[in-house]
Amino acid sequence: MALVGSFSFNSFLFGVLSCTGTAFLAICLWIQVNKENKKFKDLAPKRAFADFVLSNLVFHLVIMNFFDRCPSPILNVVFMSCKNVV
Amino acid sequence: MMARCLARFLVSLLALAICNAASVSHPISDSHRSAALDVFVPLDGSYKSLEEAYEALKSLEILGIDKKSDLSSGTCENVVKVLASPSSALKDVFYALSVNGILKCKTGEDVPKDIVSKLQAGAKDAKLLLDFYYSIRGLVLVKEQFSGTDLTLGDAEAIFRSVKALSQSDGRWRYSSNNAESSTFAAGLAFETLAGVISLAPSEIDQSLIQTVKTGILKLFDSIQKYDDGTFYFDGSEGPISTTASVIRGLTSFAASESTGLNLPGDKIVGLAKFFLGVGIPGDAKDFFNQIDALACLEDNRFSVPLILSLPSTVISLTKKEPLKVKVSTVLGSKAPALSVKLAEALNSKGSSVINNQELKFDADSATYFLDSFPKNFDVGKYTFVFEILLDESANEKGYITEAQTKVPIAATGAIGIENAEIAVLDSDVGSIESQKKLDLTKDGVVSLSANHLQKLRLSFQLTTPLGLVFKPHQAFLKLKHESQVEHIFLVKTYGKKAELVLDFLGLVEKLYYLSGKYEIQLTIGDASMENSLLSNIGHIELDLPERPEKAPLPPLHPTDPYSRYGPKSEISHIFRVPEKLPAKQLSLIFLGLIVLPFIAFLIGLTRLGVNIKSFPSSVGAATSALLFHGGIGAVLLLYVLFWLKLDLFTTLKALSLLGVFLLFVGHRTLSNLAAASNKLKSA
Repeated sequence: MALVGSFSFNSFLFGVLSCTGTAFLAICLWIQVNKENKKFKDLAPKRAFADFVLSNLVFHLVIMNFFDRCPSPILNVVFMSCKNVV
Repeated sequence: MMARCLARFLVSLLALAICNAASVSHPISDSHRSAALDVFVPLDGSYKSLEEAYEALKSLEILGIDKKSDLSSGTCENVVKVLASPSSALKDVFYALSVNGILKCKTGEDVPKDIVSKLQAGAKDAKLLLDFYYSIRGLVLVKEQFSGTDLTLGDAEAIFRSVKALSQSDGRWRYSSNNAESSTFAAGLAFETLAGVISLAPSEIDQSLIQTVKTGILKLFDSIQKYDDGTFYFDGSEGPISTTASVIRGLTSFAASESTGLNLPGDKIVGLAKFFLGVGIPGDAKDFFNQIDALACLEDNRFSVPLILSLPSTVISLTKKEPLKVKVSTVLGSKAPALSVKLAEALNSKGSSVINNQELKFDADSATYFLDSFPKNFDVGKYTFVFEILLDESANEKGYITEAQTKVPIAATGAIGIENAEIAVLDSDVGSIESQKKLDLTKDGVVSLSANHLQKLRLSFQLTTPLGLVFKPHQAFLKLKHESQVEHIFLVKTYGKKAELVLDFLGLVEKLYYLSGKYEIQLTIGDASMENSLLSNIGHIELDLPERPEKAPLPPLHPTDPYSRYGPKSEISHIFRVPEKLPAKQLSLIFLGLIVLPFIAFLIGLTRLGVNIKSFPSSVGAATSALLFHGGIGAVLLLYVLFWLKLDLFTTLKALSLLGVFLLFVGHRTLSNLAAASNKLKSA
């Protein structure tokens, strides 16, 4: 922040969140697919992968919405407070 | 004869509920005559065409202005030339004869035989309405101007029928049988033509033909236009003045012959007269001629002669006690017959009647009717006077007609009494009077007051009408003018019996721009009904206001210069949002590189892990659905990139829903193929 100023803080923030979120989803997939995990023994890995793909698609749609280009006015109004809080 | 009188009397009685709006018409006066000299007398003494010459000379003749000697020489030369030439057009011959009728260039028994035969041939062979009009009217003029001529139309009824064939069912007439275009103006020309045919016919025209024309005339009156004040007119492509004048000329010519027996509704005749009088003084020569000619036709016609009620002044001064004068005359300003004028009622602004059924006295010297006594409760203000004209029997016989009731707006003015005028400085909290001075608003006072921002200034006075009632003026302003020429105006409002203004300086400090010092006090009271409106310099007040804070607005620099106040204002420089400070481009590129590095590390990691696509299905069906599945995911990611670049959320969601449904099917198939393959392996 000190180096680059607060220009397009939205993009920076959601870039960071995107990485975090994707990592989180990957970890979830790993947990579900790992054979040593007894809890998800009955879950087919294909199903886990399909869930992973779907959740990534939805997650990235939301992320893409917040990158500064011509932000969607509806969501922008709702989430502008995040920028102001930080 | 008796039946006609009775009919006219009944018609005039029946015309009761007309002219709801109040308005005053004035008959033709000297101002028209002096304007006519400007409009109709050409500078070089000659006219551009015979039509123009005829219109000008006819108007001057009607108005009684004798300019014949000045204008006759050049115009007469033209007339004689046209009448002598065998190749002149019908229109030129017609106008030459019309001018000849006024200027009398050629008279006596010297009938131009070529002209007569030309006109008769024109009447026989004519196909267009205008050809009929010029030839028939030309023959009528020849008959009037040259004695010893025995002009009759050979086959008058056939010509009548030919002209009649151009009429339409709605009362309008066509110019020719080929052209479907019809107009009300043409109707006027047609009536004049038919009147000419009737006058030139050797024997009486068949009454049934005349009856159909009369029916057409009544149909034409269905299309008459109306204003709210009872004015009637005919409209057309030639303009309302020309069209209405043409119709009136036609109707008066048609009614002039005994055999027609034309009767027209009286209220419409009065309405038509009011239309022309309401035009005022037209600036255009054609409109002026049409106005004067139409009024002259109305002045002297066979059906009804309208009488106009006018007032030289619509203001009654209660102080001067002058009588209210009313004039009744014909449209051209000639004397009216014996009649009496009654003031039916005088309504005040609240709508109640103040005067009822007062007959006006007649002054024979000035030919005016006047009302000199007003009731005691006649106060200042605005009134509507409703006049009624009652014609004597003899006037009714001659066919005079008036409006049933003429409503005229009258203003009554008087001296308004100003009492108990005082100015005081009050303490804001308690309301107690610190200093109070009585004012004499008729003189410029030398009142000297002082106040600070915690006090109030109170001005009060009482205005009363001559009858002692409370008067609420239209304008009552108090102006405070600072030494630096900055002015402030306040309205003085009337509450109940008195007018009062309280200036609380605590609330006004910002409006006064925090300017302390000497303020001149000026009071203005004015109203249309007030004969003694005043502008009084009451005195001055020393105001002690607090210091101007930094953010307060400055007083305007040149406030009293009216030209700068309404001149162009200073240019506004708009301040746009300063764009945010961007980091250095190299810094952004370095960070881009840093972000891309982990992605490359990820790809390297994948190869190190031995990631491969050996499990990709080999059978056609499974491979297709797998390819479609990956393609679908790729399409969604591309959609997201487009969403970032230029699309909006709604378009993206629409496309995403379609892609999502597609992905659902394809993904399900791919994964079920994979599951089936792994089950096969397990069982095998």
